[in-house]
Amino acid sequence: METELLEILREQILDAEAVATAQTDLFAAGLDSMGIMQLVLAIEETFGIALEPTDLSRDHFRTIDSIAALLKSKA
Amino acid sequence: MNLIADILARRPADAIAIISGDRQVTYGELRCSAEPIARDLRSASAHLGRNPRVGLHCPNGVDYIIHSIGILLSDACLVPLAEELTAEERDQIIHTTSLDLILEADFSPNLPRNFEIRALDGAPPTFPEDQFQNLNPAFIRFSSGTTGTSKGVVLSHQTLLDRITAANRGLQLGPSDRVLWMLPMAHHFAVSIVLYLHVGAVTILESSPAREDILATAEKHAATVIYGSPFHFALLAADPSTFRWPSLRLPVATAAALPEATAQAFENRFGQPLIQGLGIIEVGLSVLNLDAASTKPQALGKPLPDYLVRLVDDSGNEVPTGTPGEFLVRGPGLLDAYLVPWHPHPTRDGYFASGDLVVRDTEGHLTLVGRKKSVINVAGMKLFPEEVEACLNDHPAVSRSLVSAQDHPHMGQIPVASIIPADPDLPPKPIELQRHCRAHLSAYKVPLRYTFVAELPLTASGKLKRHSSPLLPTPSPSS
Repeated sequence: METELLEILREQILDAEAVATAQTDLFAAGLDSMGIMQLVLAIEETFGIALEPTDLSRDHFRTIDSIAALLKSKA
Repeated sequence: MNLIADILARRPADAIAIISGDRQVTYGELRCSAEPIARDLRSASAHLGRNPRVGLHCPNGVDYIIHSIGILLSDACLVPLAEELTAEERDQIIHTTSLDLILEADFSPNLPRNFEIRALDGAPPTFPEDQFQNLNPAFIRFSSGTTGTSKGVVLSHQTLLDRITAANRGLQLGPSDRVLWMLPMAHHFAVSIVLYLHVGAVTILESSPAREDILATAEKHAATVIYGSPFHFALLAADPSTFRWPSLRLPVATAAALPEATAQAFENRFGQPLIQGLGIIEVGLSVLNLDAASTKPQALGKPLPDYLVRLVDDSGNEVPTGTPGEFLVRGPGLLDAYLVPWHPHPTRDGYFASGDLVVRDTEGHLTLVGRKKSVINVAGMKLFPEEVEACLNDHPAVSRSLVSAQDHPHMGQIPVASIIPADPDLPPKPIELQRHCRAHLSAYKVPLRYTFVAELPLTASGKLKRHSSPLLPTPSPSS
């Protein structure tokens, strides 16, 4: 799951170089509200998990690891 | 008339105009930063013997505002080049507007100058230069558009003044207001931030998309007004903290249809109803739900005092109450022209036809129910399916494509594609089509789902048959 998230973020949402690892701070890497929307849609398409507005907190979206933990808790 | 020069002359130099993080910028500082930019632009375009068209490529932030002010102050016409555009889309705008200069802003704070002016050997325009200059143009805006393809909307200094004056009869903004701003400036600068500067309201910029940061800024600066898309308000309404935002008086939802659940969640959380408005690039803000936001959150409201609205059927006759009709509006500050193809004052009997399908209830409240034309609205970012189809059709494995909107609970709509493959036994992989689109189109335009089909619905003349896209179920007249 982390690998797929890394691929989504590098290919579709942020500059590939900006997302070094699953621990990279995504907000520091330039994740903005448009990027969060793209990411929410890509997660729905890829993993079939629909995220709700309550899920979209800073802590959940800080790194790939934290997003993966959120998705695993919802799966 | 130069609207920006008037604003800077009118407002006290020591009054605060913008707050961004720890940075506070006064009107005097705005002028001091913008004047050298204006001077450089004038000397870079002196050889033209007319006012130039200047593209602005700059990230959101205080500098975006300073550079825009510099461009407008120099009497140049500002053409925003939004950050999400691909090189191809950018070149298209540069070509269509026959751009003379590009102002590239650099983010590096250590450089002696944080901008660069690049001259373009502009091809002669396809529109009449004299007529264009006679308008006293301030802005050319592309992208969202409401009329099938993006034509470029030309707005003059006088038009901007007329429409911000009319909008403020509803918004009632003044020097005691502090507006929390989160939207992309390349899409919204003209009638929003210019309005705040004009009336002396403080604009508070928040660059973080995290709701914790947005609410912390709202509290720190006692924000009174917030503009956002329904997506932003859904995020804020889900905040688990105890902050109630007591200074808030006017939360305005714009850019996309407001889902009832979002409106209710926001009102429950902050004790303020979300006010929906209808902002149209060609028109400005003509309808605002000031009197029924709590009881009818999905309504756009009533026309502001300076506007007349007609809802008409395909023959141009007014529709009865409760029946959807196309939204026609008349009032101050309608667009001055479409750029390409050149069309000055594109109105009928003074009315602009927006392509929105709107229904009026027995109390006179208007509600948006769909679109006559084929625009898809992804959380406020609008796209034309024709543009995405043209891109898909360029892929060797695609014979023909249809892009349509699929409803999404939080984004409003998302683009999806139906594809007739060139070889039915060997359809391309969806990821391949996605990569192809991403190379040519802004990210939000790229379809998320691909279905392979043997045929697409066509009209008698062989064109793709599109359904008008419903945004929300039509409310019953009593609701």
